[in-house]
Amino acid sequence: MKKNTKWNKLSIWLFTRPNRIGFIVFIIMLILMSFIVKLRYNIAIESQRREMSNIINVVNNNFVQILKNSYTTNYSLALAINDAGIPENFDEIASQLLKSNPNLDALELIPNGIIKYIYPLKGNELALNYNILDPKVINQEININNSKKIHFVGPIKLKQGGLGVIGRLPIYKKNKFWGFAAVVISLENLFKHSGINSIDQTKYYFQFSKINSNSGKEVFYLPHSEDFSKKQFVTVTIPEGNWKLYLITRNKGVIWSQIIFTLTLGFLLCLISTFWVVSILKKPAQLQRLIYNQARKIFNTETEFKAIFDQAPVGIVRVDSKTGNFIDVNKEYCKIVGYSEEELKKINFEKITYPDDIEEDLKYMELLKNEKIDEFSMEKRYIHKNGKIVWVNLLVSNILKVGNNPGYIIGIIEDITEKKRTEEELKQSFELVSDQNKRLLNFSYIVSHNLRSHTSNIEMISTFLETANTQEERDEMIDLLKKVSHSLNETIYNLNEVVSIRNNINLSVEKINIHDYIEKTKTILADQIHKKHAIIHNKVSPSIEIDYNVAYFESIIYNFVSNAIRYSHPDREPEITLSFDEKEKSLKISDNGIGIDLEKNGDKLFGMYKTFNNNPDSKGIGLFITKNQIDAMGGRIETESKLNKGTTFTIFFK
Amino acid sequence: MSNKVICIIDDDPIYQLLINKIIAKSKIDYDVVSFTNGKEAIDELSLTIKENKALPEIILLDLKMPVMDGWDFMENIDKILSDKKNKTAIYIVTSSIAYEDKEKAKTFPEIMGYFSKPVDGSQILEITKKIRD
Repeated sequence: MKKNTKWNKLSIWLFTRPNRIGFIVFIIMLILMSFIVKLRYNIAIESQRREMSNIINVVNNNFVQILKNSYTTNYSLALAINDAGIPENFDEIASQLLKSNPNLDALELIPNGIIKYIYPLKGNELALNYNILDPKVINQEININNSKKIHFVGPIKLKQGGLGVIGRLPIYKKNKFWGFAAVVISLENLFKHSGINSIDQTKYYFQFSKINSNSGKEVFYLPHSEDFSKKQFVTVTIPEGNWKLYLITRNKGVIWSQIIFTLTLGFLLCLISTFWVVSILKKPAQLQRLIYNQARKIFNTETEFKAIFDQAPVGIVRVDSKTGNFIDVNKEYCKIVGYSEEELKKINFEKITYPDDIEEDLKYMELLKNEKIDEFSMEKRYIHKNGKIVWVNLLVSNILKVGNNPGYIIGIIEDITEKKRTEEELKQSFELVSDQNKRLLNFSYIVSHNLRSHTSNIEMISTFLETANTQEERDEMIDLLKKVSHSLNETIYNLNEVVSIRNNINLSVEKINIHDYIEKTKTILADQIHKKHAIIHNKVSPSIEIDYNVAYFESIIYNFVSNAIRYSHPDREPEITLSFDEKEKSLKISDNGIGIDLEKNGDKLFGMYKTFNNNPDSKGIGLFITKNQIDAMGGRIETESKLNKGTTFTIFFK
Repeated sequence: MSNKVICIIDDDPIYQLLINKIIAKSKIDYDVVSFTNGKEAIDELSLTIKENKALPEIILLDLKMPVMDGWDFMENIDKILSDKKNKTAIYIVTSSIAYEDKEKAKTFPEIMGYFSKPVDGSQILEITKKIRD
């Protein structure tokens, strides 16, 4: 991985700098080219050297040939000397020899070192009678005398004029030194015949030197005064005359002119290849830059989306559709459910969903997974980390399939706890208002009926009083009026009672022992119990206590028990059982009385002035008040009853 | 043939007494039969039908009564009278002045009229006059 990034970096570096790469390529190509040019140069030098050495060899051979000819000529000339030591037919022989050796300029015979015979004499007169052994003139010849071989001197200034070389062969007659036979070759002639003059003068030139045997200095004889030691040259030594022959290149440019093409071509190639590399590299570099820009754009967009995701005022989650695990959660979501991002990523959404809402949620998720729906929304509850229930509005959108991945679900979660609470409060207050309205209606009904029945009676009585003819009749009506006034009073009293229960908000609450209060009620009702032979089973444990208003509790128990006794079945003795359910916090009062047709009268059971029989004691106010008292304490009543079998009232305490 | 019968169904004994006096004073030839609730009246009327006796011509029915109220009575009397040629005129006489009750009364075709208490002789005469016509 690390290596990979290194390579990646390198490749990026490479691809983003085509000019530098081009420069490097140019340098490499240049080195390569110079190497080739150098090679080419060496080859050119070598071929020149070979050419030069060929030329010099030819010249050398010619030299050797001329020298050999000189020897044979000298030898032939020596043969012309007879035993007496006099040359015979010198001119004739010499003329023939010169004819056959045109490279020679003159032939001489030098008895005892004095030049006596010269052919052709014409032009060489000055050399006649010249003593070559005169030590003043030539000192280097002395030891040569001892040698019997031909030896060459010169180039020297000839007596007859000009420069030349002289090949002298010592001649011995009867083992006695006679003199020399000599050939004279002018330098001009020598060079002409050796081929020096026939070479390409534009390219090369010759130099001819001799090392002075006395001074050891090299003396040059050809008119090129320049120093050629820096120039290309080849040399051969001609041992016969102690000469050195040089072949020298005229100028260096010859070689360069040969490789200049290669050089130009190479340089051009360098430029072309550089240009090519740069143009090729520029494309990826452009692409690379494009990629970089795009990546930057993507990065920016991503950052923007990340910011939206994180700072959204609603919860956003990404959930694995298979497992339900959280993949991404934003801050708001964490805030809603109270868990941190790390905690959430370890669990799935079911873990924090309120158990009753899981089923519905999963049902929707299944539909979403099967692509039956694209999105859904529901109101659900989460369990906050602190244990409280959070209401949310959940909006889930379709699964995003990414390649072979199972896909994700995007959920948007809005906290509606506050809304729900308000809604709930509104509902409660609506229920309260409806309830109050119902009670008010009931109350107005009570007022209209119960009070009006009395007032209408009073009105009727008053009409009768007006029209009464006899005192008897009048007395009867006044008596009736008293009765009406009494019941009216009673009705108003009862209504007042009901109103006071309803208005009583701050009821004093005490601990009440249910068992004891039942016993107390039994004492109060002792007379009726005795009269009807009623049996009352107090099955409430003496240890049970509840918080309740004392007066209400007494009234409630009294009303239920007295009702049970009052509406006992005529065929049997009343039996009343009271028991307490600690779990439900409820008191059950069962009797074996006449029962109530709940289907017919259930809704009127606890209404005011509702009686279901013609029992003269029934005023229809007891259960109405009881109900109001239980309501006021925040409890409720349930009734079970069967006609002629009995009734069970269950009072649920708050 | 005996006098025509006017049937009064009401749980208020004082009203019973007063209505009797009104009928007596209005000098009409009607006998008064009283019941304190709907159940009693139904039982008696069923018996009357069984014995093939004449049904009362007029019924003055209260609505709020124990055991069986006026509405329950109406439902029951409907069943009893379903196969008889109904000659009985039923009038509601109640202390209720509730609009709902008046409206509900109109849903029963047997109910000929609705009176709020108190009633006087003139109203009784009005009813009997209608029957006679």
